[in-house]
Amino acid sequence: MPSRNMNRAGTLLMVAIAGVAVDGTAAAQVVDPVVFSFATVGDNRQDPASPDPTTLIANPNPTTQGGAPSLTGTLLPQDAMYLQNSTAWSTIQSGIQAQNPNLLFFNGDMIYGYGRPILPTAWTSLGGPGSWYGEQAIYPDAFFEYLQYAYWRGTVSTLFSSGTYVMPVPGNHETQCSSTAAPYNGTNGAPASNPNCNTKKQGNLTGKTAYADNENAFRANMSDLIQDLVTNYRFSNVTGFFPSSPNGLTAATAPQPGGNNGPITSPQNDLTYSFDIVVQASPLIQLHFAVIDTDPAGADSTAPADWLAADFAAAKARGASNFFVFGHKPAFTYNYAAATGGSIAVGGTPGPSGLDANTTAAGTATINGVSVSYNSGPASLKAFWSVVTEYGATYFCGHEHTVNVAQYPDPTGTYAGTPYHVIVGSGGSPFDDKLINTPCTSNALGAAGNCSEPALTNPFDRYYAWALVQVHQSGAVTLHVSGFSDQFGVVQDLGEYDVSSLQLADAAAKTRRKK
Amino acid sequence: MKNQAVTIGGALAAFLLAPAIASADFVLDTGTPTGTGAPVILSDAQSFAAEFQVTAAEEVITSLAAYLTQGAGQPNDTFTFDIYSNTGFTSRPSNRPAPVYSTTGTFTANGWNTAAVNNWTLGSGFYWLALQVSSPTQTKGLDLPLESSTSTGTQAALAFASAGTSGQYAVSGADPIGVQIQGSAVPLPAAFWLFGSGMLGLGAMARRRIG
Repeated sequence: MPSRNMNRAGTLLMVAIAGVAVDGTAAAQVVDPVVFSFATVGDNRQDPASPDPTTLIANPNPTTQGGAPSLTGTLLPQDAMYLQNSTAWSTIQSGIQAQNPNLLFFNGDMIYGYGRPILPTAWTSLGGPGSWYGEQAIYPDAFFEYLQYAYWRGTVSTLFSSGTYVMPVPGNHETQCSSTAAPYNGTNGAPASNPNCNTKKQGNLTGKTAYADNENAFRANMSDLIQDLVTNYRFSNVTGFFPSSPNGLTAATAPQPGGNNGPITSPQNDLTYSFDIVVQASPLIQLHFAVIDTDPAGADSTAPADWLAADFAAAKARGASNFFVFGHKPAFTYNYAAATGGSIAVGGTPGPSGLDANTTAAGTATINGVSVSYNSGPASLKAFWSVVTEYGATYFCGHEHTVNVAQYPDPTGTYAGTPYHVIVGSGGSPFDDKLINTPCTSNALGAAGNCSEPALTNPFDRYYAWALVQVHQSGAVTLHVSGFSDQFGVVQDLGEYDVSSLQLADAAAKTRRKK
Repeated sequence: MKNQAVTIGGALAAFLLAPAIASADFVLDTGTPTGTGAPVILSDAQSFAAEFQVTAAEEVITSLAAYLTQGAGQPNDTFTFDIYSNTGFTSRPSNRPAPVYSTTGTFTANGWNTAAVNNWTLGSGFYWLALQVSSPTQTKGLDLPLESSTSTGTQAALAFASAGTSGQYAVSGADPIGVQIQGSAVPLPAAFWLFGSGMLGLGAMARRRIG
């Protein structure tokens, strides 16, 4: 009898222990290892004329500790010199390194630029500063832009040694010249406008124009990263994967003028390009990455939709399972100003700033002696998003200095699905949703000061943020958005999205895609 | 007679075990996080800590737990629980005294995740429980949901701290997270109870003989 009682007692004890052990513990999560990942962000350049007041620091005072935030202070000297938001950008890079992605796509505006970096003919023809000689003047825009490029390349150099390869995407600050951008502001003896840039006075609506000179400067400073897809000096060593089927690395394979590519007037090699990475054989995960120049010379604010359609079709024929596109300008402007009464409608303030800002009509043009017909503006945009929808791609971009994840359907109504449109132009440039009552006259935000935070459409509109995409062994694809506030707080998880249902790897999505 | 002996033996065993079981209590319990803000990310780029006080002369730590969700991490990702003395805790990592105790925690599921501890003994004083990650091979990021206030739970933290890539903890502006420490007063050694019961037995026998 005693032994039976002891057994009973023992059983009860075990049940009690088990009960205590499982208390408050949910069912174990399923392990689905990450087999590949990439991060993406854009826009870390600073603005010399209108930095966000939250990036300013107290004026130097040798008797007290310097570097304290001050809404009425000055830019960090290195940021004033090289036009970066180094505090935000270095914190973002640390966060990215902690996530240890294989790739980082930087979605443009890595430099302030906006000049016209015209180089001496000898330099251009001989290939670069190492071979240039002679008494030829360098236009100051070239000097400053190369300086900024070099500084940015230095800032990302440690990513390579921690296993993250950087893929650059051209932005409008790289490819365009802005007629009135600093230092061309008519003060301190500077000209009122850039003499080498198409101006509003000349009929240019925005005074911002893409030039081949600017595209050459991008290539001169970034092409080694892109050409590595072929030469492979470091790509596979850094990422652990070999790239395959690179496209757009020569002028002939890059977007050509005409059709939905728009009236492009310059070679687009290394500005718009693509490649595959086969992550695993079974189940097959073959990722296809396409980088597009959304401000090519001759076709500002135009995505090369025809090139993308042909590129995606070829990738799909090779077996690509997942499609990702990286450009600078959003296809659809995020209406961050809605809460504060602004409007992104044409003619509104601030007005649209993405590809939807381009309202020019279709036309014909003679480019390099050849007459071409082209679509532009709304027609080209529709064609672009239709391709994105057809392949269930995800589009990552910047330009708007905020973070936003949205989904948009095919505007032509041809294909089903609502692909993700991810704006991560939140790498450090002045936030689009401005503080109220700027310039600030007090060091305090809110009631104690005259400056205050705007009413935000989304609580993270003024967060520095980046996206991380994880591709799992099962084929599932998850998107994480991480970031920190304009007060430079700790890094937070701003959202997680399962984007795999929209990727071609999902057979059900594949069959329902075509309407 | 035999039954009596079993009963007495059982009672003695229960008596011997009782001190350790009965006094197990929360030394630190922030409660399950219920805040609505975006979770903070635990990674090798940032760490988090909560301060607690030990009031007993000696306290035996019996379990540690952190409230975690998966974030960009995976099940079986690991992190460390480190207990630091308050002295020098906010110094630079190179100047900060080594942790008093360390153990590895493993993320298994959203909720309270625990780590094994081997009866760590702490003297009375102020301490910090830190959650740290040494490299992305431990985890690429687990989430720590936020508590709505710094003073919730059955045994609120005295303070919270966070550290960025410099590894230097700062208390100012740190968010409250969910952590728990269970402990018990140091039990008297079993030998003491055996010796005591033996003395009592001898006393009883002597009394019977005299009687």
